[in-house]
Amino acid sequence: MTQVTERASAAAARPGVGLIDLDVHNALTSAAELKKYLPSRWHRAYDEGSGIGSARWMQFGAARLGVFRGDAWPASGPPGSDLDLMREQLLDRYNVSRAVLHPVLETMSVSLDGDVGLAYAAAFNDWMADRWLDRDPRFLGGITVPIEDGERAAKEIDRVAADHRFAKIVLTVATREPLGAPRYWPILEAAERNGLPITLHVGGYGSATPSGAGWASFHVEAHTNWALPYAAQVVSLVASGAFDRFPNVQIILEEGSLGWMPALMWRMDRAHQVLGDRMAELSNVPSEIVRKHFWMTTQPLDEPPVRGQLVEMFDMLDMSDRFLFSSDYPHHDFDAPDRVLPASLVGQEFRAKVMGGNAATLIARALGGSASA
Amino acid sequence: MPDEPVRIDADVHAPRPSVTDLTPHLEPHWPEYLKWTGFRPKAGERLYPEWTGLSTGTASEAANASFRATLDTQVFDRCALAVVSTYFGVESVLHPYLAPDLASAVNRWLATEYLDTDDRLRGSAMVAPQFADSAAAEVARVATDSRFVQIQVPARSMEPYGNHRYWDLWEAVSSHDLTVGITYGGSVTIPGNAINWMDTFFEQYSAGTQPFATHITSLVLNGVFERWPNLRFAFVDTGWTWLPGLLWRLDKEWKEGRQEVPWVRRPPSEYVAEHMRFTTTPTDAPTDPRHLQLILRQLPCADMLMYSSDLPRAGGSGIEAITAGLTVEEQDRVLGGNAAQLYRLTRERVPS
Repeated sequence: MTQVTERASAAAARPGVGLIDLDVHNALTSAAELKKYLPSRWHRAYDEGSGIGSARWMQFGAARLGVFRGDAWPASGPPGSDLDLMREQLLDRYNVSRAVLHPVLETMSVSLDGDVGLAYAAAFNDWMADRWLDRDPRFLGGITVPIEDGERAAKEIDRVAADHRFAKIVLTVATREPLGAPRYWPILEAAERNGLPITLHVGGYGSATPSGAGWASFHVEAHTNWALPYAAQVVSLVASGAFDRFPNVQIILEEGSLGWMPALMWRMDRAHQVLGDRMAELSNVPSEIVRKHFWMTTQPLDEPPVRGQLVEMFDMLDMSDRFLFSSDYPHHDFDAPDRVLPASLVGQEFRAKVMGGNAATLIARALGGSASA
Repeated sequence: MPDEPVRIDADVHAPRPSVTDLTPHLEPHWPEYLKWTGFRPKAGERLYPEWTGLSTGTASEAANASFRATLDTQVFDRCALAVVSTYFGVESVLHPYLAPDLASAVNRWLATEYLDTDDRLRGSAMVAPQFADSAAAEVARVATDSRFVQIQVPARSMEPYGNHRYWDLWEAVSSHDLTVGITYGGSVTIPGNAINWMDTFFEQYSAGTQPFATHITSLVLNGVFERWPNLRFAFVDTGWTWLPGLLWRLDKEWKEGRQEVPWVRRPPSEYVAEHMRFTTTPTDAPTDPRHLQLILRQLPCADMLMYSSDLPRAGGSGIEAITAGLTVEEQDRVLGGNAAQLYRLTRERVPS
């Protein structure tokens, strides 16, 4: 423990911000662990489970060993549940200065609205602070909210945001309605009020259909389609005027891949131009709204057949201040910080921004908070 | 046309037929039923609402004449052939006998109104893919008319097109060596994006490539092209600059997860290069013309594009922005060679 703390301090004391990993998944050691943080009146509901009859029980075939890295299983509990193993395999191994945690698989499996949804979210957040943030200053937290219940989500954001070690608000990307819908405005408003970015992460069972045309047959097919809900959310948020209403809201597209974004910006710009004053007024050109309000994490990094095409795509996006490194530890498609985006490909300056510089700007509040904690 | 490379317009849109136009082509009980129910092709009318300025309008003597005049001045001034389609929204009809019969009537109307009157037009025949067995029967019927070169289905569908519920249809298309055209939009009972229903035309249009991406992934991963090596798809009216980004991810996912789909023997982008083509209008183009040329080189092969005017709409950037950086030989392929190959439009089938 002492050794770990010393190393963390050393990383924090180095000039520059060090390596920041925006997408790391911790996990409960067992379902019982959450109950310590959940009022007893909700225990029965928790044991019974929720979402009977929802799409989460569909079978898509399976990825090898589920979604996890084969070597990330601790002696007991699921991958991500053992703090020491995470230190060893991620923080210490790659000298990660800050890792922003979120137990996304668990949180999307519980109710997402109502008093029970709020109770689960609060339990996850208290567990996060107690079991993770208190035990290593390199950990930062993602705030769990009852996604489909704007008022209660805002209430929980206000409660938790007082703890500056929480660095972002986490929504799974497949919401029940497009995010421009008014039911989500309290979340945007609370994010703005507390100076926290909102992350959209892979997952969720809310959407009517998880693709542009019905359900996939295979896991590999469904996994490819996970880029689509991100694009749909960008379209909705841009079109809804949400950023006029909440001009300081920042959205992180986390684990959405990048390759779809250039053409989407061009398409929205063209539609905006062709329709002109025949469509509802936007305060800016769609691509400029994207560049002012969206950030993108790197994993899963697109793999063009010619590596230089990746650099071409970054040039087209013209968002070099808005890419954020993420590893997705302990999932099987983990990107290793020392191998992804080598300076020989993208240049030293670009790499430095993506691996920590940009994140330091975005989550400055949390970096100050954790240093003083 | 002895030595001139053939020029083909792969996508022009005739006005939508009215119910009255279809009456002569329907079994006698349908007109009465349509009148009784007050049927209107609402999906057709709403594909591009009138207010967008992008609608093809409803057929009438004047509208048909105006469309023909446009073809003369803006298509056949440069092209020897054009692939003509129309839209009626048959995918939105849940009635299992009406939808296929409407599709068939529209195809008969298109043949009578346009193919019979202009030998430079080639037809795109619509089917109601939600009833794959009936759709397969319509494929067999139109295949007897060699002027039909394409079977047309809308991008919006209840399942991705690699799904087995459509395999009777693909079997029929393959056995008659036709091309499938997937066209922008459509109306079905699920939203055409990966979240949920959206309110505005801008949103619907901006997210309008999502069904196409879904179909590419599904067709390849379901092994459709291993089963029917001659099956070919035209992606019509959807743009193409989004394709490289999709294929980078799809190839990567296949590399990591191909044990699940062992019948997919090669990287997905190779199937796309061999079996799929995209029309050039619209082009969702970057502001920097150099970026457009880079995107062209990111496509999985040099033959991915087919010139289209998209008349009477002209929503995209000019073809010149695309051809500017191409060799003369590549230009010839984009302007006609690729379409000729896809649609099997051999020189004997081109009127002189």
